[in-house]
Amino acid sequence: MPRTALIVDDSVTIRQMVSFTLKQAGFAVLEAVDGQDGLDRLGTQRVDLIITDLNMPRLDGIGFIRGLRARPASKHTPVLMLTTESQEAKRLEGRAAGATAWMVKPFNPDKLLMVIGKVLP
Amino acid sequence: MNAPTWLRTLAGSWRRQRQLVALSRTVQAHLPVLPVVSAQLRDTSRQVEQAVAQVGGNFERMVECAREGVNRTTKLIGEQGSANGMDATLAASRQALEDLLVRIVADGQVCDKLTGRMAALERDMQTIVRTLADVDRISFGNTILALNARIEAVHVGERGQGFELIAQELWTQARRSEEITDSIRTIIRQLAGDAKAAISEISEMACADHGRIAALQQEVRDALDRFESVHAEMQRSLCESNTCGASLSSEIARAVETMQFQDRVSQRIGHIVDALDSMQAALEQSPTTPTGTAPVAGAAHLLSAAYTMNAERDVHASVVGEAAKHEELSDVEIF
Repeated sequence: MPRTALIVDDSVTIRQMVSFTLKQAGFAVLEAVDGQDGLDRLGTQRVDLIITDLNMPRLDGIGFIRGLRARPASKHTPVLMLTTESQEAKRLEGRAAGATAWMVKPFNPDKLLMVIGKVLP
Repeated sequence: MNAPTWLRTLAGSWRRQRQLVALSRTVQAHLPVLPVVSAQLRDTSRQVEQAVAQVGGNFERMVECAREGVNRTTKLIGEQGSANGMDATLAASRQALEDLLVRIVADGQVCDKLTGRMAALERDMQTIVRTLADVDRISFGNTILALNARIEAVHVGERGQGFELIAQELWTQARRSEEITDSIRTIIRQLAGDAKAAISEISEMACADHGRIAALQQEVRDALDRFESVHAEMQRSLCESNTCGASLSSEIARAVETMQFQDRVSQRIGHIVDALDSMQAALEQSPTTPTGTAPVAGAAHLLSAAYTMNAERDVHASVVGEAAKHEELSDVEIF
């Protein structure tokens, strides 16, 4: 049974690139276009990994992580924040919200898979 | 004569007011351009996104096709060294051929032995025929003896009648013996003839089979050699395909990284569009009379606060004449 990952990003391209990378590594992939969409999808799905952007319409990455951490089913799900933002203050905010790791875009597929390997239980 | 101070001040104020009116008209004239520029930028960003997504989709299909091709080829010719691969099939075919040839050679040797035994049988039959000649001679002797006995019985007269009967019986047995030996001789000659013909046929057949088998053996070996050669070529091709696949995968990984420029460009265009929209709103709200003051204070700060990338901050800082202020952190951090 393949592991399932949820990709939350408002960029079609990034969702496509991350999805492509994860599918090559054997993941089943779900996609959401923003934080709110991500929470809606998590309401019906249990996933092994979440990769989310920071800046998104409706609900940003920080709000999304806070929302999913409030749910028992996704309290301990590894969350990788994948964003163009690299400022320390934002990282601290992400960490405080419950992110497991931070990675700055553009990502290298091999490096992304290496980081995923480290954050997955 | 110099004009009074109040008059010069009034004239200056009037000139500035005229300049402000002209500036206001210029701004008003350009104001409709801002939403058009914003829309153009949004559309450009959308088109770039669609194009990149299309290319990304093509990559995915390319990789799928490459993988499917390698899988099919591998399935067709088998993994090198696998138990059910083409290597194993070829080795098994070659072994089966060798076993068959050994068996055919053994069958040929059996034929040779059979021919030898039939030749020996034929010789034995000739011996029997010669022995039958001895029997014939004995029978002839018995016939002569019977004839003499009958002559002697006639000379003896009435007392010799018993001898005559015995002589008659002896003659009869000798005749039967001759008849039997004739019959046996005829049968043995027939058998000897059949054996000779069989030896001849078996020998001819064996010679012909040896020739055909040798030719067939060479043909099959040549076919297997060609097959092995083609198979080796296919395996080399498969290895090259795998190498190309790995190279393709690496190239695509680089392309995946490169194509993310669209996301960064899209974000930056989004920030520019937001700034243009904000500028338009501010200008529309500002009084058109020359006495008003546009609310431009802090606009640059608001613009920079929307940035999400250090590249944007660097450009902004270079334009406004500030030093870039951001930390150089690792791209990855695991909390």
